[in-house]
Amino acid sequence: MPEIALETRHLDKSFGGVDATRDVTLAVERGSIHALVGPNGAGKTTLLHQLAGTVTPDRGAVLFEGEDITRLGAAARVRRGIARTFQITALCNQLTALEHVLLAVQRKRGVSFKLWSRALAPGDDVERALACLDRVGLRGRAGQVPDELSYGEQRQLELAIALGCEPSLLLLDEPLAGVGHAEARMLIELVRTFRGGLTTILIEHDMEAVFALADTVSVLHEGRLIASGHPDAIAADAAVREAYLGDDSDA
Amino acid sequence: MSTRLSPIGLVVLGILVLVPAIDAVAFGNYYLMSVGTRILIMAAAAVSLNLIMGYGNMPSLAHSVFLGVGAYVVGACSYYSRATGAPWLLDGFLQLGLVLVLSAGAAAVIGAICLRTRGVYFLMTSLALGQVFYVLAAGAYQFGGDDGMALDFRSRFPVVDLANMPTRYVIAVLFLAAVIYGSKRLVDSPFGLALRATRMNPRRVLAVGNEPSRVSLLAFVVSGAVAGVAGFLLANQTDFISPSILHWTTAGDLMIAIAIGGLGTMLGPVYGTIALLTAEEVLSSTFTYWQFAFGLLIVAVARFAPSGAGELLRRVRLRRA
Repeated sequence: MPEIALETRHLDKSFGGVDATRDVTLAVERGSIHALVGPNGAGKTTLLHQLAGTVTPDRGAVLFEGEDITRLGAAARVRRGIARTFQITALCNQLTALEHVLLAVQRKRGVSFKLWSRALAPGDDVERALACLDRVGLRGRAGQVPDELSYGEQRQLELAIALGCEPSLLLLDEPLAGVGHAEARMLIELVRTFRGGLTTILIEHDMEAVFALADTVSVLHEGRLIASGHPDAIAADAAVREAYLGDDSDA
Repeated sequence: MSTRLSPIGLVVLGILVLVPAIDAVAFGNYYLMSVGTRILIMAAAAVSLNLIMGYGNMPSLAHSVFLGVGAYVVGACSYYSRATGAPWLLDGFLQLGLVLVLSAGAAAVIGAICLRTRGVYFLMTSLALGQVFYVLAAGAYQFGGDDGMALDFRSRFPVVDLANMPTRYVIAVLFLAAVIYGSKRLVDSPFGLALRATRMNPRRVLAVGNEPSRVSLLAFVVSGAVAGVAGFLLANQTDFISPSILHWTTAGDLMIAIAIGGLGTMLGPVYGTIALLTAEEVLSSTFTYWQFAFGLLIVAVARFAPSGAGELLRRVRLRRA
Protein backbone atom coordinates (compact mmCIF):
# COMPACT_ATOMS: atom_id res chain seq x y z
CA MET A 1 0.00 0.00 0.00
CA PRO A 2 1.45 3.37 -0.95
CA GLU A 3 1.67 6.05 1.72
CA ILE A 4 0.05 8.54 -0.61
CA ALA A 5 -3.75 8.27 -0.85
CA LEU A 6 -4.27 10.96 -3.45
CA GLU A 7 -2.04 12.76 -5.84
CA THR A 8 -2.51 15.41 -8.49
CA ARG A 9 0.01 16.03 -11.26
CA HIS A 10 0.21 19.36 -13.07
CA LEU A 11 -3.54 19.98 -13.00
CA ASP A 12 -4.75 22.83 -15.21
CA LYS A 13 -8.29 24.07 -15.53
CA SER A 14 -9.53 27.28 -17.04
CA PHE A 15 -13.04 28.60 -17.57
CA GLY A 16 -13.30 30.88 -20.56
CA GLY A 17 -9.80 32.30 -20.20
CA VAL A 18 -9.83 32.45 -16.41
CA ASP A 19 -7.26 30.04 -15.01
CA ALA A 20 -8.93 28.48 -12.00
CA THR A 21 -6.28 25.84 -11.49
CA ARG A 22 -2.69 26.26 -12.61
CA ASP A 23 -0.17 23.46 -12.58
CA VAL A 24 -1.26 22.05 -9.22
CA THR A 25 0.84 19.11 -8.07
CA LEU A 26 -0.15 17.84 -4.69
CA ALA A 27 0.26 14.68 -2.61
CA VAL A 28 -2.02 13.78 0.27
CA GLU A 29 -0.83 11.23 2.81
CA ARG A 30 -3.10 8.40 3.76
CA GLY A 31 -4.95 9.00 7.02
CA SER A 32 -3.92 12.63 7.21
CA ILE A 33 -6.01 15.77 7.43
CA HIS A 34 -4.99 18.03 4.58
CA ALA A 35 -6.33 21.58 4.54
CA LEU A 36 -6.69 23.70 1.40
CA VAL A 37 -6.67 27.39 2.18
CA GLY A 38 -6.43 30.57 0.20
CA PRO A 39 -8.28 33.79 -0.50
CA ASN A 40 -11.67 33.75 -2.22
CA GLY A 41 -11.32 32.86 -5.88
CA ALA A 42 -8.05 31.04 -5.26
CA GLY A 43 -9.45 27.92 -6.95
CA LYS A 44 -10.00 25.74 -3.89
CA THR A 45 -13.48 24.55 -4.82
CA THR A 46 -12.52 24.05 -8.47
CA LEU A 47 -9.64 21.86 -7.33
CA LEU A 48 -11.99 19.88 -5.08
CA HIS A 49 -14.39 19.41 -8.02
CA GLN A 50 -11.56 17.91 -10.03
CA LEU A 51 -10.78 15.50 -7.20
CA ALA A 52 -14.46 14.54 -6.92
CA GLY A 53 -14.88 14.12 -10.68
CA THR A 54 -17.50 16.84 -11.19
CA VAL A 55 -15.04 18.96 -13.18
CA THR A 56 -12.60 17.49 -15.71
CA PRO A 57 -9.14 19.08 -15.78
CA ASP A 58 -7.83 20.47 -19.07
CA ARG A 59 -4.44 18.94 -18.43
CA GLY A 60 -2.75 16.86 -15.77
CA ALA A 61 -3.75 13.79 -13.79
CA VAL A 62 -5.47 12.77 -10.59
CA LEU A 63 -4.23 9.56 -8.97
CA PHE A 64 -6.11 7.77 -6.22
CA GLU A 65 -4.38 4.88 -4.45
CA GLY A 66 -1.82 4.90 -7.24
CA GLU A 67 -4.39 4.58 -10.04
CA ASP A 68 -5.14 7.24 -12.63
CA ILE A 69 -8.76 8.33 -12.09
CA THR A 70 -8.61 11.53 -14.17
CA ARG A 71 -11.27 10.29 -16.62
CA LEU A 72 -13.44 8.56 -14.04
CA GLY A 73 -16.94 10.02 -13.47
CA ALA A 74 -18.15 11.36 -10.14
CA ALA A 75 -20.35 8.37 -9.27
CA ALA A 76 -17.59 5.90 -10.11
CA ARG A 77 -15.20 7.80 -7.83
CA VAL A 78 -17.69 7.56 -4.97
CA ARG A 79 -17.84 3.82 -5.54
CA ARG A 80 -14.03 3.75 -5.27
CA GLY A 81 -14.22 5.47 -1.93
CA ILE A 82 -14.11 9.22 -2.52
CA ALA A 83 -17.01 11.05 -0.87
CA ARG A 84 -17.57 14.78 -0.75
CA THR A 85 -19.73 17.45 0.79
CA PHE A 86 -20.97 20.48 -1.11
CA GLN A 87 -20.17 24.08 -0.29
CA ILE A 88 -23.70 25.00 -1.32
CA THR A 89 -25.72 22.19 0.16
CA ALA A 90 -27.15 19.74 -2.38
CA LEU A 91 -30.12 18.21 -0.63
CA CYS A 92 -33.54 16.88 -1.69
CA ASN A 93 -36.33 19.13 -0.46
CA GLN A 94 -38.84 16.40 0.36
CA LEU A 95 -36.54 13.76 1.82
CA THR A 96 -35.90 13.50 5.56
CA ALA A 97 -32.39 13.59 7.00
CA LEU A 98 -32.60 9.85 7.55
CA GLU A 99 -33.66 9.22 3.94
CA HIS A 100 -30.74 11.31 2.71
CA VAL A 101 -28.24 9.18 4.61
CA LEU A 102 -30.07 6.00 3.58
CA LEU A 103 -29.46 6.93 -0.06
CA ALA A 104 -25.75 6.70 0.64
CA VAL A 105 -25.90 3.65 2.91
CA GLN A 106 -28.07 1.65 0.50
CA ARG A 107 -25.89 2.52 -2.47
CA LYS A 108 -22.85 1.38 -0.50
CA ARG A 109 -24.57 -1.89 0.43
CA GLY A 110 -25.58 -2.42 -3.19
CA VAL A 111 -29.34 -2.43 -2.58
CA SER A 112 -30.21 0.83 -4.36
CA PHE A 113 -31.77 -1.13 -7.20
CA LYS A 114 -34.02 -3.26 -5.02
CA LEU A 115 -37.61 -2.57 -6.08
CA TRP A 116 -39.60 -4.60 -3.60
CA SER A 117 -38.15 -4.14 -0.09
CA ARG A 118 -38.91 -1.12 2.05
CA ALA A 119 -36.19 1.51 2.18
CA LEU A 120 -37.18 2.52 5.71
CA ALA A 121 -37.68 -1.01 7.05
CA PRO A 122 -36.03 -1.33 10.48
CA GLY A 123 -32.72 -3.10 10.10
CA ASP A 124 -29.06 -2.69 9.29
CA ASP A 125 -29.49 0.09 6.72
CA VAL A 126 -31.48 2.32 9.05
CA GLU A 127 -29.18 1.53 12.00
CA ARG A 128 -26.14 2.55 9.97
CA ALA A 129 -27.81 5.69 8.71
CA LEU A 130 -28.83 6.68 12.23
CA ALA A 131 -25.28 6.01 13.42
CA CYS A 132 -24.00 8.46 10.76
CA LEU A 133 -26.51 11.07 11.88
CA ASP A 134 -25.47 10.43 15.46
CA ARG A 135 -21.80 11.06 14.64
CA VAL A 136 -22.59 14.53 13.30
CA GLY A 137 -25.03 15.26 16.13
CA LEU A 138 -28.23 15.07 14.08
CA ARG A 139 -29.79 11.89 15.42
CA GLY A 140 -32.62 13.84 17.01
CA ARG A 141 -33.42 15.48 13.67
CA ALA A 142 -33.63 12.27 11.60
CA GLY A 143 -37.26 12.84 10.59
CA GLN A 144 -36.81 16.44 9.46
CA VAL A 145 -36.73 17.63 5.84
CA PRO A 146 -34.06 20.20 4.83
CA ASP A 147 -36.43 23.18 5.18
CA GLU A 148 -36.92 22.29 8.83
CA LEU A 149 -33.18 22.20 9.46
CA SER A 150 -31.05 25.25 10.17
CA TYR A 151 -28.33 26.10 7.68
CA GLY A 152 -25.73 24.68 10.05
CA GLU A 153 -27.71 21.49 10.47
CA GLN A 154 -27.88 21.13 6.70
CA ARG A 155 -24.05 21.26 6.66
CA GLN A 156 -23.98 18.57 9.34
CA LEU A 157 -26.35 16.49 7.22
CA GLU A 158 -24.04 16.88 4.21
CA LEU A 159 -21.28 15.35 6.31
CA ALA A 160 -23.53 12.54 7.57
CA ILE A 161 -24.41 11.61 3.97
CA ALA A 162 -20.72 11.55 3.03
CA LEU A 163 -20.01 9.28 6.02
CA GLY A 164 -22.85 7.03 4.85
CA CYS A 165 -20.82 6.38 1.69
CA GLU A 166 -18.13 4.81 3.95
CA PRO A 167 -15.34 6.54 2.04
CA SER A 168 -11.60 6.17 2.42
CA LEU A 169 -11.12 9.75 1.21
CA LEU A 170 -13.37 12.54 2.34
CA LEU A 171 -13.54 15.91 0.57
CA LEU A 172 -15.06 18.60 2.77
CA ASP A 173 -15.95 21.95 1.24
CA GLU A 174 -16.28 24.44 4.09
CA PRO A 175 -18.00 22.08 6.52
CA LEU A 176 -18.06 24.71 9.27
CA ALA A 177 -19.56 27.61 7.33
CA GLY A 178 -22.78 28.67 9.02
CA VAL A 179 -22.52 26.03 11.73
CA GLY A 180 -23.16 27.19 15.32
CA HIS A 181 -20.26 27.48 17.73
CA ALA A 182 -20.98 24.36 19.78
CA GLU A 183 -21.70 22.28 16.67
CA ALA A 184 -18.52 23.54 15.04
CA ARG A 185 -16.47 22.38 18.02
CA MET A 186 -18.18 19.00 17.86
CA LEU A 187 -17.49 18.70 14.11
CA ILE A 188 -13.85 19.64 14.63
CA GLU A 189 -13.57 16.85 17.20
CA LEU A 190 -15.30 14.50 14.77
CA VAL A 191 -12.90 15.30 11.92
CA ARG A 192 -10.00 14.84 14.38
CA THR A 193 -11.16 11.24 14.94
CA PHE A 194 -10.76 10.58 11.21
CA ARG A 195 -6.99 10.97 11.51
CA GLY A 196 -5.16 7.72 10.97
CA GLY A 197 -8.10 6.05 9.23
CA LEU A 198 -9.97 8.27 6.86
CA THR A 199 -7.97 10.61 4.65
CA THR A 200 -9.56 14.06 4.76
CA ILE A 201 -9.12 17.02 2.43
CA LEU A 202 -10.67 20.10 3.90
CA ILE A 203 -11.44 23.54 2.53
CA GLU A 204 -12.07 25.87 5.42
CA HIS A 205 -11.98 29.58 6.10
CA ASP A 206 -11.95 29.19 9.87
CA MET A 207 -8.17 29.41 10.37
CA GLU A 208 -8.43 28.43 14.02
CA ALA A 209 -10.06 25.18 12.97
CA VAL A 210 -7.55 24.64 10.19
CA PHE A 211 -4.56 25.06 12.46
CA ALA A 212 -6.16 22.93 15.16
CA LEU A 213 -6.87 20.08 12.76
CA ALA A 214 -4.56 19.93 9.79
CA ASP A 215 -1.46 17.78 9.48
CA THR A 216 -0.64 19.58 6.26
CA VAL A 217 -1.81 22.93 4.94
CA SER A 218 -1.69 23.77 1.23
CA VAL A 219 -2.15 27.36 0.16
CA LEU A 220 -3.68 28.25 -3.20
CA HIS A 221 -3.44 31.68 -4.72
CA GLU A 222 -4.86 32.57 -8.13
CA GLY A 223 -5.11 28.89 -9.00
CA ARG A 224 -1.52 28.13 -8.11
CA LEU A 225 -0.19 26.12 -5.18
CA ILE A 226 2.14 28.59 -3.46
CA ALA A 227 2.99 26.64 -0.34
CA SER A 228 2.36 23.27 1.24
CA GLY A 229 3.61 21.98 4.56
CA HIS A 230 3.24 21.74 8.31
CA PRO A 231 0.80 24.34 9.71
CA ASP A 232 3.56 26.08 11.70
CA ALA A 233 5.74 26.43 8.62
CA ILE A 234 2.81 27.79 6.63
CA ALA A 235 1.97 30.34 9.30
CA ALA A 236 5.52 31.65 9.04
CA ASP A 237 5.71 31.57 5.23
CA ALA A 238 6.33 34.95 3.62
CA ALA A 239 4.62 34.17 0.32
CA VAL A 240 1.49 33.09 2.13
CA ARG A 241 1.39 36.30 4.13
CA GLU A 242 1.71 38.29 0.96
CA ALA A 243 -1.10 36.38 -0.75
CA TYR A 244 -3.42 37.03 2.16
CA LEU A 245 -2.33 40.62 2.74
CA GLY A 246 -2.65 41.33 -0.98
CA ASP A 247 -6.31 40.36 -0.76
CA ASP A 248 -7.46 41.02 2.75
CA SER A 249 -11.14 40.83 1.80
CA ASP A 250 -11.09 37.22 2.86
CA ALA A 251 -8.63 36.67 5.69
CA MET B 1 -45.36 14.68 -3.98
CA SER B 2 -46.66 12.13 -1.53
CA THR B 3 -46.00 8.43 -1.07
CA ARG B 4 -49.00 7.98 1.22
CA LEU B 5 -51.69 5.50 0.22
CA SER B 6 -54.82 6.96 1.77
CA PRO B 7 -57.11 4.32 3.39
CA ILE B 8 -60.16 6.50 2.74
CA GLY B 9 -59.13 6.81 -0.90
CA LEU B 10 -58.89 3.02 -1.15
CA VAL B 11 -62.28 2.48 0.48
CA VAL B 12 -63.96 4.99 -1.84
CA LEU B 13 -62.28 3.34 -4.81
CA GLY B 14 -63.52 -0.05 -3.60
CA ILE B 15 -67.08 1.28 -3.44
CA LEU B 16 -66.79 2.86 -6.92
CA VAL B 17 -65.57 -0.44 -8.30
CA LEU B 18 -68.59 -2.25 -6.83
CA VAL B 19 -71.13 0.01 -8.58
CA PRO B 20 -70.86 -1.54 -12.07
CA ALA B 21 -70.80 -5.02 -10.53
CA ILE B 22 -74.01 -4.36 -8.57
CA ASP B 23 -75.63 -2.77 -11.59
CA ALA B 24 -74.83 -5.90 -13.60
CA VAL B 25 -75.75 -8.51 -11.02
CA ALA B 26 -78.83 -6.85 -9.54
CA PHE B 27 -80.28 -5.09 -12.58
CA GLY B 28 -78.80 -7.03 -15.48
CA ASN B 29 -77.29 -3.78 -16.75
CA TYR B 30 -73.87 -4.36 -18.29
CA TYR B 31 -73.17 -0.94 -19.75
CA LEU B 32 -71.27 0.42 -16.73
CA MET B 33 -69.25 -2.76 -16.49
CA SER B 34 -68.16 -2.49 -20.11
CA VAL B 35 -67.18 1.16 -19.75
CA GLY B 36 -65.69 0.50 -16.29
CA THR B 37 -63.34 -2.20 -17.53
CA ARG B 38 -61.75 0.19 -19.97
CA ILE B 39 -61.55 2.96 -17.37
CA LEU B 40 -59.86 0.72 -14.79
CA ILE B 41 -57.29 -0.50 -17.30
CA MET B 42 -56.54 3.10 -18.31
CA ALA B 43 -56.30 4.02 -14.62
CA ALA B 44 -53.62 1.37 -14.20
CA ALA B 45 -51.80 2.82 -17.21
CA ALA B 46 -52.05 6.27 -15.60
CA VAL B 47 -50.53 4.92 -12.37
CA SER B 48 -47.64 3.50 -14.38
CA LEU B 49 -47.11 6.83 -16.17
CA ASN B 50 -47.29 8.71 -12.87
CA LEU B 51 -44.50 6.50 -11.58
CA ILE B 52 -42.06 8.08 -14.02
CA MET B 53 -43.76 11.44 -14.45
CA GLY B 54 -44.71 12.17 -10.83
CA TYR B 55 -41.95 10.41 -8.93
CA GLY B 56 -39.21 10.54 -11.57
CA ASN B 57 -39.79 13.82 -13.45
CA MET B 58 -40.08 12.10 -16.83
CA PRO B 59 -43.17 13.44 -18.64
CA SER B 60 -43.30 10.85 -21.41
CA LEU B 61 -45.65 11.07 -24.38
CA ALA B 62 -44.20 7.77 -25.56
CA HIS B 63 -46.35 5.93 -23.04
CA SER B 64 -48.86 5.32 -25.85
CA VAL B 65 -46.25 3.14 -27.53
CA PHE B 66 -46.19 0.58 -24.72
CA LEU B 67 -49.98 0.37 -24.59
CA GLY B 68 -49.85 -0.09 -28.35
CA VAL B 69 -47.22 -2.83 -28.12
CA GLY B 70 -49.45 -4.72 -25.68
CA ALA B 71 -52.51 -4.36 -27.89
CA TYR B 72 -50.72 -5.21 -31.13
CA VAL B 73 -49.18 -8.37 -29.68
CA VAL B 74 -52.74 -9.64 -29.06
CA GLY B 75 -53.74 -8.48 -32.54
CA ALA B 76 -50.74 -9.96 -34.30
CA CYS B 77 -51.10 -13.30 -32.52
CA SER B 78 -54.78 -13.39 -33.43
CA TYR B 79 -54.01 -12.53 -37.06
CA TYR B 80 -51.21 -15.05 -37.51
CA SER B 81 -53.10 -17.74 -35.66
CA ARG B 82 -55.91 -17.38 -38.16
CA ALA B 83 -53.45 -17.20 -41.07
CA THR B 84 -51.39 -20.26 -40.08
CA GLY B 85 -53.91 -22.19 -38.04
CA ALA B 86 -51.48 -22.33 -35.11
CA PRO B 87 -53.54 -22.37 -31.88
CA TRP B 88 -50.49 -22.01 -29.61
CA LEU B 89 -50.17 -18.38 -30.70
CA LEU B 90 -53.31 -17.64 -28.72
CA ASP B 91 -51.78 -18.84 -25.44
CA GLY B 92 -52.26 -15.94 -23.03
CA PHE B 93 -49.09 -16.57 -21.06
CA LEU B 94 -47.02 -16.68 -24.22
CA GLN B 95 -48.60 -13.41 -25.34
CA LEU B 96 -48.02 -11.81 -21.95
CA GLY B 97 -44.38 -12.90 -22.06
CA LEU B 98 -44.05 -11.32 -25.49
CA VAL B 99 -45.76 -8.15 -24.28
CA LEU B 100 -43.39 -7.82 -21.33
CA VAL B 101 -40.26 -8.42 -23.41
CA LEU B 102 -41.29 -6.12 -26.26
CA SER B 103 -42.68 -3.26 -24.18
CA ALA B 104 -39.72 -3.34 -21.79
CA GLY B 105 -37.38 -3.50 -24.77
CA ALA B 106 -39.08 -0.59 -26.51
CA ALA B 107 -39.01 1.36 -23.23
CA ALA B 108 -35.29 0.68 -22.81
CA VAL B 109 -34.54 2.07 -26.28
CA ILE B 110 -36.92 5.05 -26.10
CA GLY B 111 -35.94 5.79 -22.50
CA ALA B 112 -32.21 5.68 -23.23
CA ILE B 113 -32.66 8.26 -25.99
CA CYS B 114 -35.13 10.53 -24.15
CA LEU B 115 -33.03 10.52 -20.98
CA ARG B 116 -30.32 12.44 -22.76
CA THR B 117 -32.67 15.39 -22.29
CA ARG B 118 -34.70 16.87 -19.44
CA GLY B 119 -38.01 18.61 -18.84
CA VAL B 120 -39.82 19.95 -21.89
CA TYR B 121 -37.12 18.54 -24.21
CA PHE B 122 -37.78 15.12 -22.73
CA LEU B 123 -41.46 15.62 -23.52
CA MET B 124 -40.76 16.59 -27.14
CA THR B 125 -38.26 13.76 -27.71
CA SER B 126 -40.72 11.22 -26.34
CA LEU B 127 -43.42 12.69 -28.57
CA ALA B 128 -41.26 12.35 -31.69
CA LEU B 129 -40.14 8.80 -30.91
CA GLY B 130 -43.67 7.77 -29.96
CA GLN B 131 -45.11 9.04 -33.21
CA VAL B 132 -42.64 6.88 -35.15
CA PHE B 133 -44.34 3.82 -33.69
CA TYR B 134 -47.76 5.30 -34.44
CA VAL B 135 -46.84 5.70 -38.09
CA LEU B 136 -45.47 2.14 -38.19
CA ALA B 137 -48.76 0.79 -36.79
CA ALA B 138 -50.82 2.92 -39.17
CA GLY B 139 -48.81 1.47 -42.06
CA ALA B 140 -49.23 -2.16 -40.99
CA TYR B 141 -51.80 -3.03 -43.66
CA GLN B 142 -52.20 -6.67 -42.59
CA PHE B 143 -53.53 -5.36 -39.26
CA GLY B 144 -55.92 -2.99 -40.98
CA GLY B 145 -53.54 -0.03 -41.29
CA ASP B 146 -55.21 3.21 -40.28
CA ASP B 147 -58.56 1.57 -39.62
CA GLY B 148 -57.29 -1.07 -37.25
CA MET B 149 -58.99 -4.44 -37.12
CA ALA B 150 -61.38 -6.52 -35.11
CA LEU B 151 -59.73 -9.48 -33.38
CA ASP B 152 -60.51 -12.98 -34.57
CA PHE B 153 -59.46 -14.45 -31.23
CA ARG B 154 -58.91 -13.14 -27.74
CA SER B 155 -56.00 -14.40 -25.64
CA ARG B 156 -56.65 -17.80 -24.10
CA PHE B 157 -55.92 -18.74 -20.51
CA PRO B 158 -56.67 -21.95 -18.65
CA VAL B 159 -59.93 -21.69 -16.60
CA VAL B 160 -60.32 -17.93 -17.16
CA ASP B 161 -62.41 -17.04 -20.23
CA LEU B 162 -61.74 -13.52 -21.51
CA ALA B 163 -64.80 -13.66 -23.75
CA ASN B 164 -66.86 -13.29 -20.58
CA MET B 165 -67.40 -9.64 -19.71
CA PRO B 166 -67.68 -9.94 -15.90
CA THR B 167 -64.46 -11.99 -15.97
CA ARG B 168 -62.72 -9.16 -17.81
CA TYR B 169 -64.05 -6.70 -15.28
CA VAL B 170 -62.72 -8.75 -12.36
CA ILE B 171 -59.34 -9.04 -14.09
CA ALA B 172 -59.24 -5.28 -14.67
CA VAL B 173 -60.00 -4.69 -10.98
CA LEU B 174 -57.30 -7.14 -9.92
CA PHE B 175 -54.83 -5.62 -12.38
CA LEU B 176 -55.45 -2.11 -11.09
CA ALA B 177 -55.12 -3.31 -7.49
CA ALA B 178 -51.84 -5.05 -8.33
CA VAL B 179 -50.49 -1.98 -10.12
CA ILE B 180 -51.40 0.33 -7.21
CA TYR B 181 -49.84 -2.08 -4.71
CA GLY B 182 -46.77 -2.57 -6.88
CA SER B 183 -46.21 1.15 -7.41
CA LYS B 184 -46.57 1.74 -3.66
CA ARG B 185 -43.95 -0.94 -3.00
CA LEU B 186 -41.66 0.49 -5.65
CA VAL B 187 -41.92 4.08 -4.44
CA ASP B 188 -41.17 2.96 -0.87
CA SER B 189 -38.24 0.75 -1.89
CA PRO B 190 -34.57 1.74 -1.86
CA PHE B 191 -34.92 2.12 -5.61
CA GLY B 192 -37.97 4.37 -5.16
CA LEU B 193 -35.98 6.47 -2.72
CA ALA B 194 -33.20 6.85 -5.30
CA LEU B 195 -35.79 7.67 -7.98
CA ARG B 196 -37.43 10.38 -5.88
CA ALA B 197 -34.03 11.78 -4.98
CA THR B 198 -33.10 11.85 -8.68
CA ARG B 199 -36.21 13.90 -9.39
CA MET B 200 -35.39 16.37 -6.61
CA ASN B 201 -31.64 16.66 -7.01
CA PRO B 202 -29.64 14.49 -9.44
CA ARG B 203 -26.40 15.94 -8.04
CA ARG B 204 -27.17 14.38 -4.68
CA VAL B 205 -27.70 10.95 -6.24
CA LEU B 206 -24.45 11.26 -8.17
CA ALA B 207 -22.63 12.27 -4.99
CA VAL B 208 -23.60 9.04 -3.22
CA GLY B 209 -22.32 6.98 -6.16
CA ASN B 210 -25.41 6.22 -8.26
CA GLU B 211 -25.85 7.26 -11.88
CA PRO B 212 -29.11 9.27 -12.05
CA SER B 213 -29.67 8.23 -15.68
CA ARG B 214 -29.55 4.55 -14.73
CA VAL B 215 -32.06 5.03 -11.94
CA SER B 216 -34.37 6.90 -14.31
CA LEU B 217 -34.02 4.34 -17.10
CA LEU B 218 -34.95 1.39 -14.88
CA ALA B 219 -38.08 3.24 -13.74
CA PHE B 220 -38.92 4.03 -17.37
CA VAL B 221 -38.61 0.35 -18.35
CA VAL B 222 -40.72 -0.91 -15.43
CA SER B 223 -43.37 1.69 -16.19
CA GLY B 224 -43.35 0.78 -19.89
CA ALA B 225 -43.79 -2.93 -19.14
CA VAL B 226 -46.82 -2.21 -16.93
CA ALA B 227 -48.34 -0.09 -19.70
CA GLY B 228 -47.70 -3.00 -22.08
CA VAL B 229 -49.83 -5.30 -19.94
CA ALA B 230 -52.52 -2.60 -19.81
CA GLY B 231 -52.52 -2.55 -23.62
CA PHE B 232 -52.80 -6.33 -23.67
CA LEU B 233 -55.91 -6.16 -21.45
CA LEU B 234 -57.34 -3.25 -23.42
CA ALA B 235 -57.20 -5.18 -26.71
CA ASN B 236 -58.90 -8.14 -25.06
CA GLN B 237 -61.56 -5.83 -23.64
CA THR B 238 -62.42 -3.97 -26.84
CA ASP B 239 -61.82 -6.99 -29.10
CA PHE B 240 -60.29 -4.50 -31.48
CA ILE B 241 -56.93 -2.89 -32.17
CA SER B 242 -56.24 0.40 -33.90
CA PRO B 243 -53.21 2.67 -34.31
CA SER B 244 -55.09 5.37 -32.39
CA ILE B 245 -53.94 3.73 -29.15
CA LEU B 246 -50.34 4.54 -30.19
CA HIS B 247 -51.12 8.15 -30.96
CA TRP B 248 -49.52 10.58 -28.54
CA THR B 249 -52.94 11.80 -27.44
CA THR B 250 -53.43 8.53 -25.53
CA ALA B 251 -50.50 9.47 -23.31
CA GLY B 252 -51.70 13.08 -23.37
CA ASP B 253 -55.06 12.02 -21.95
CA LEU B 254 -53.29 10.05 -19.24
CA MET B 255 -51.23 13.14 -18.40
CA ILE B 256 -54.38 15.25 -18.10
CA ALA B 257 -55.90 12.57 -15.86
CA ILE B 258 -52.77 12.61 -13.69
CA ALA B 259 -52.78 16.40 -13.51
CA ILE B 260 -56.46 16.44 -12.50
CA GLY B 261 -56.03 13.76 -9.86
CA GLY B 262 -52.68 14.85 -8.48
CA LEU B 263 -49.20 14.38 -9.92
CA GLY B 264 -46.94 12.26 -7.75
CA THR B 265 -49.65 10.90 -5.50
CA MET B 266 -50.54 7.24 -5.14
CA LEU B 267 -54.27 7.37 -5.99
CA GLY B 268 -54.55 10.73 -7.79
CA PRO B 269 -53.99 9.21 -11.25
CA VAL B 270 -56.69 6.60 -10.60
CA TYR B 271 -59.30 9.17 -9.60
CA GLY B 272 -58.18 11.49 -12.38
CA THR B 273 -58.67 8.77 -14.98
CA ILE B 274 -62.06 7.80 -13.59
CA ALA B 275 -63.13 11.46 -13.64
CA LEU B 276 -61.74 12.15 -17.11
CA LEU B 277 -63.11 9.09 -18.86
CA THR B 278 -66.47 9.24 -17.09
CA ALA B 279 -66.82 12.90 -18.06
CA GLU B 280 -65.87 12.00 -21.63
CA GLU B 281 -68.45 9.20 -21.65
CA VAL B 282 -71.24 11.42 -20.26
CA LEU B 283 -70.41 14.67 -22.05
CA SER B 284 -69.66 13.21 -25.47
CA SER B 285 -73.08 11.54 -25.66
CA THR B 286 -75.02 14.66 -24.68
CA PHE B 287 -73.05 17.57 -26.04
CA THR B 288 -71.41 17.87 -29.45
CA TYR B 289 -68.75 20.27 -28.26
CA TRP B 290 -68.09 18.29 -25.09
CA GLN B 291 -64.37 19.05 -25.30
CA PHE B 292 -65.22 22.68 -24.68
CA ALA B 293 -66.85 21.81 -21.35
CA PHE B 294 -63.85 19.66 -20.67
CA GLY B 295 -61.48 22.52 -21.32
CA LEU B 296 -63.33 24.59 -18.73
CA LEU B 297 -62.96 21.74 -16.24
CA ILE B 298 -59.19 21.67 -16.80
CA VAL B 299 -58.94 25.44 -16.39
CA ALA B 300 -60.89 25.13 -13.14
CA VAL B 301 -58.51 22.48 -11.85
CA ALA B 302 -55.49 24.58 -12.82
CA ARG B 303 -57.01 27.61 -11.06
CA PHE B 304 -58.37 26.04 -7.86
CA ALA B 305 -56.33 22.89 -7.35
CA PRO B 306 -53.01 23.16 -9.18
CA SER B 307 -51.69 20.06 -7.41
CA GLY B 308 -54.73 18.02 -8.36
CA ALA B 309 -58.18 17.34 -6.93
CA GLY B 310 -56.66 15.26 -4.13
CA GLU B 311 -55.09 18.48 -2.89
CA LEU B 312 -58.53 20.11 -2.79
CA LEU B 313 -59.92 17.29 -0.63
CA ARG B 314 -56.94 17.54 1.70
CA ARG B 315 -57.51 21.28 2.10
CA VAL B 316 -61.20 20.78 2.84
CA ARG B 317 -60.29 18.23 5.49
CA LEU B 318 -57.71 20.54 7.03
CA ARG B 319 -60.21 23.40 7.22
CA ARG B 320 -62.69 21.18 9.06
CA ALA B 321 -60.08 19.96 11.51
